[in-house]
Amino acid sequence: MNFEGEASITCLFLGMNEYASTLLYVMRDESLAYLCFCSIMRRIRANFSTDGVAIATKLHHLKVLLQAVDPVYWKFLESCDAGMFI
Amino acid sequence: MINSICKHFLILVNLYFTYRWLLLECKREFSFSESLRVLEVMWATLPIDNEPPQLKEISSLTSSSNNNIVDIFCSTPSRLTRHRALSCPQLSVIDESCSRKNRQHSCSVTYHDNYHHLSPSTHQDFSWTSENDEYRLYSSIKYDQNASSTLTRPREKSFENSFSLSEISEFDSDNLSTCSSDNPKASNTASQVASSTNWVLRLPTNDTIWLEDDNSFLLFLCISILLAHRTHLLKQKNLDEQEIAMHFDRYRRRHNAERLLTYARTLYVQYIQWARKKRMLDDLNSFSVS
Repeated sequence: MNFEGEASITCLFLGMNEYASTLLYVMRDESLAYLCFCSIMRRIRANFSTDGVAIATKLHHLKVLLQAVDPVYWKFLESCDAGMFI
Repeated sequence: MINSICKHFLILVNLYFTYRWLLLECKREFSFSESLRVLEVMWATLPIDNEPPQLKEISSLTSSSNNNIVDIFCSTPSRLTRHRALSCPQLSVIDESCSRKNRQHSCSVTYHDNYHHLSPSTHQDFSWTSENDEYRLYSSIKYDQNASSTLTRPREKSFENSFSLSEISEFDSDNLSTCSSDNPKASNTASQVASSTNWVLRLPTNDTIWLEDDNSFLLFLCISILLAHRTHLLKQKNLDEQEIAMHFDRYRRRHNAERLLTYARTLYVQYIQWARKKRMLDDLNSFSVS
């Protein structure tokens, strides 16, 4: 089978095994699990890149979202942070 | 001065304990069997990948007459639209998402034709390529109630699955009430979530880039996890980031998937409805300006 995703996985990072094990458990077949794993990696590869930009963006989004959903809670978390230095 | 700098820095590094949630898509936050369910629900919200797997066998699956169309669909979806519109309809070989687009498309072809008649000097091919957006806008305004189904292509991708959201919104309130009877902690958060349905109004309106996050349901799931611990954390005094992180760590693999998914769905639905409304208004505004 000629498969495109093969080249996309250059190295394995900590945490990828979580995805791999889940897929293997569900698919029960190594080749199928591998296909799924490659497809998933195509989507989330950026999360595992060493510069951390993708995750930082997500953290920022999460922050904005939390600020909107529950400002009181956010203020509390913020005060917990600031408390360390006062 | 230094204090303010420190504070600024800390705000930037805040929520670092959610790193694992985001990286592993919350898989570790639930027990294994529940995490399967969570991942399934989450991945179901993702837009359908328009690229089919690059397997050689795919061409042998389709008959030779349809090969052309499938190939065009694989390479350039926008060109497919044109192609398919001209050779419309019946394309049963292509999967469900395509047939939905096809339906969508074929229903708007007539509008296009009207539009075309209005400007008969326009060459047909040209009108399909460059005036596609304009024409879509035109039809969405004229047929306001169908506007959500005639969104432009990138939007269609990001809200691929949003056609089912109307069904989800129907059981929102029921779900929350049954859920709140389970657990006092749940009732707190649930009532809070339900009472603040206008939280979307607090979202920054100018900053639309983050709305396009590739897995926004994950963010809502993280928010739900945070909210589930809200009452407990608010009671504590003098917590620092590390203690908060340790607290959440203790709940690793122990979260209640059912309850958190319900929260996340509620928030997600509210968000999607807000975003769609906002987009429609934006489209209308941009159309009236141009």
